[in-house]
Amino acid sequence: MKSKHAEADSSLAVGHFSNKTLGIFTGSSQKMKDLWPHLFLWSGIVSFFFGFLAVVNTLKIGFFLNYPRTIRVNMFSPTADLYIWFGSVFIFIVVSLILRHSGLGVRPTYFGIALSIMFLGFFLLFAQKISHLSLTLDGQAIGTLLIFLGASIHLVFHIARWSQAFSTSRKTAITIVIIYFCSLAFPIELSASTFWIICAFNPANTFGKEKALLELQLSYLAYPLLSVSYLAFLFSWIWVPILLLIVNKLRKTRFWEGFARLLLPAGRPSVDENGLPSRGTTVIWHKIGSRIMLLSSLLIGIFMAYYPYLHSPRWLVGTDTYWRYLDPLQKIVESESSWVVALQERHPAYLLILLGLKTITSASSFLVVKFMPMVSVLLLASATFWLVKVGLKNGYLASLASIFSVLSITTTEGIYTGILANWFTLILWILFFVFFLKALEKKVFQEKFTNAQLGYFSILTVLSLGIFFVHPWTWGVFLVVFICYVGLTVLRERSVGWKTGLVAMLILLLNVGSAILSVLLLPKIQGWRLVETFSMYEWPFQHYGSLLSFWDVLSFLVRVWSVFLSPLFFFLAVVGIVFVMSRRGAIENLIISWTAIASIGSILVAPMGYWPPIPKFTELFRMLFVTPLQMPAAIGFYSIMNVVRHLLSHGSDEKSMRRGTTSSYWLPLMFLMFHYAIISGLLLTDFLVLELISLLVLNFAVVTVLLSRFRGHLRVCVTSLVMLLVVFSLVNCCFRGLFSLLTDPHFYRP
Amino acid sequence: MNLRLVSLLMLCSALLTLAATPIIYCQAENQLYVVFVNANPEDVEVGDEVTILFRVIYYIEDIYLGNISKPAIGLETSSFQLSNATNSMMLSDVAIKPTENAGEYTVTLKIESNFPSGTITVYVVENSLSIVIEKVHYSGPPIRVSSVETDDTSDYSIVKVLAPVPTPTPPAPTPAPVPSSWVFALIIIIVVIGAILVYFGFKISRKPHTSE
Repeated sequence: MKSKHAEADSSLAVGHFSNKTLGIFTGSSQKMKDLWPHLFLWSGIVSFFFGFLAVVNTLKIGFFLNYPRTIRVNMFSPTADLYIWFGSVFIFIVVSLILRHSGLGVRPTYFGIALSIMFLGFFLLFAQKISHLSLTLDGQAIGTLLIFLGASIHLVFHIARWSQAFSTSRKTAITIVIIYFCSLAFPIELSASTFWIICAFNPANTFGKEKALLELQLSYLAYPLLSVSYLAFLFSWIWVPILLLIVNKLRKTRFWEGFARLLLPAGRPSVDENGLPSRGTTVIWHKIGSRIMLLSSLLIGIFMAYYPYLHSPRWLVGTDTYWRYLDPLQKIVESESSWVVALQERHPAYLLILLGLKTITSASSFLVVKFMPMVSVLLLASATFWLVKVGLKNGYLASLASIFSVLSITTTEGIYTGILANWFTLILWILFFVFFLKALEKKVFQEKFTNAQLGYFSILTVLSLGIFFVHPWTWGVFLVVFICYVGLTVLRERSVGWKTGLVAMLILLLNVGSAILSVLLLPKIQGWRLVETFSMYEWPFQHYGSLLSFWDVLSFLVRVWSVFLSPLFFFLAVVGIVFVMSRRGAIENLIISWTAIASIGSILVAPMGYWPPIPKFTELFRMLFVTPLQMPAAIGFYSIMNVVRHLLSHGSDEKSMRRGTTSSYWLPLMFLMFHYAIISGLLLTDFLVLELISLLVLNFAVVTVLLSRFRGHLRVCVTSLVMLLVVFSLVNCCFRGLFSLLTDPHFYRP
Repeated sequence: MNLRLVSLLMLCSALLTLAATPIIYCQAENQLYVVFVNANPEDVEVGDEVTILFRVIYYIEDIYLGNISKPAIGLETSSFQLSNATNSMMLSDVAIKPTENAGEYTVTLKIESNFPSGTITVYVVENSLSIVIEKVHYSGPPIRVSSVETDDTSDYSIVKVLAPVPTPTPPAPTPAPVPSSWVFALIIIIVVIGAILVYFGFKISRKPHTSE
């Protein structure tokens, strides 16, 4: 039975029909008519995917994961992949020829160009090596590139001429192309996840390792750009304004118009009084979607934090867990004067919090320390959600930010190094800005004296002093970010009233006063830690020559910790920061100030502990921990998806979405996910024929049927599918980062 | 999906998980690791030469940053094992040459008639590498390593040694390497699909265009 949505789409597409087109399939059935474009697109995407793998292998991209490696990706085996690629190219050309013979398709010139490139590629590929005098060509490499290029151009030309050719519109065709591509990529991500999850229970597991290695290498395709992306993000506050200035100068040109159009749908969403997107048709989708995403982020956080313990080891993981927290906590518990013992330790305030938790829950010290990373992950995710919700009034984006918070380097690095006090201050830091932004938004400090003013002031003071007592080193950075934020808000918005400014000054004075008092009155408790912090701050200025080694140190850290760093995450963060800087607002000012201070701080701390002859350590890892990558990455991803959604939307979507029920938003996605889970299971069987049939035949059949059934919701489906793909990719990155802890707890005891 | 099927799937997953014996891998101190083994060319005959390329690293540890790999520079000899399904041969203390990449070594072996034939795997033998770095003795690898054992998928240390062709008799045509049966099946499937598509294409195109 043909769905009403499909009918709507078909009826819409009638407008695109040329007379010739109508005549082509007159003899064939409706289903057959629908199948041709799908088969064409599927063969195009399969050839693109396998061609892409071949090109990647040809380029021999190097990456560093524990040691230098070269990317070599095979879906099945080198030979099988090659045959599938050639087979799909053959089918792709044959289908396009059939359609062309029937009067459909692109202009003969374009058709000829694509085919010529492909045939030249085949010729070079089989010629292998061409040598003439001083000219030597690697025929295999160039041939592979040319075939891939030819097939891609062929696909692009056809999609560009789509509206005049097929029964579906061009936008629908692009949507189908994205979904087909996801259908090939998703099973790989799911298979890799399966491997990492089984490893959590049995670290020696090898079931699914091949697919995990494939996914790993695909994730590191952009590894050569990782250091540059990191640098680009840190110094975005310098180059993005320059970029925007140049673009602004080109305001009258077509380029600017295009750029402005891209920024428009990606910007701050318009919202109604409930803080939901104002476009009525997507309200339900956003509301339910954001709730599910927030819940998912918390569940993922629980799983990630407990991942190193799923095989029931007898140890705790993370560098600092024993010598900074468990052993001192045990000492405090066993001593009669807990406070006195606690105050002699490195992190007395945090240890007292742990002691409080232990007393409340009646759990052992071991359990309290074991579950603190989980508590930190959940609190940080919730705080990030709250901050974005307050700052941008967008629950969907806030939920996305909480997911990115859980899947960021903060989680993996936090668990790996066990820097729990540092982690806790980051939560307090975000909560401080939540309340400050709320106070600014409600103009609390602009009014006459009220209890609300006192309440907000007390909360802000407690939070800032909490940071001061828990981790003085982070407190210094936080304070500079706060000063920079207030300064930037005054400069950009000119909306900070003198009363708010006064409150900010008071908070600053209270913090500085506490620091002075600590040094003078509590030299043996908080004072010495503060003095040590200041001497650390002072160190770079005494060794300013070493600051020039920043790039070396950054490259070193990226190399050593590549397992924690996802190129995709950095890419999204860079895109996000461009969108952030192009707009004005409280949270935008906060992200800009935070990034700017993180970049300066990174330069200052990078040489500390770094010895160029045998590089082994750098304090840069602490600055990386507090670098605000999560929120820009979420904003970047949200903006890209908004642009995609905007570009792919057309009238029929709105109509069908109005007709649709809540379940109709989720059904296609759920069916697709269920289908991908089955395909990934079949891919893990290690039985080639079954793998081939499941990925190329069953996948095509099921996805095509689902697309026809839920054609009205393709736009929602495609963005959700891409989001899930990105989330799974980041989840796998986190698994990789935590995997080594399954066998090596990485704790330190002097 | 019914409950029984779900239970069966879960049981299979559990059995698969339990099937592998848990081994704890840790980067031990003073250990050398072979992370890449490649043999080139992949098809040889007796008397031909095979170039083996392998990379050796060791780890230093930082309490926060974890294990940091360093290339092992200065190795002079290594032992190799050439194994097929039934036989194996050990080549002990073969002199190795460093390449321009730190920690990378190469050696060229001539395939002799007494070597295992057929599909052979080249291994770097366990504990055949030894070096002193900054007054610390390092040795390894802890287990024999071929491209199968490494996580680097760009290496391949499996070589096909073809049987020697008898010289006195006129040279019989060497049988071409026979692709496995699925390749034929795949080609046939592709050709059939292509033929069907072409047929349909022509059939459709011959139909009168009603709209014109």
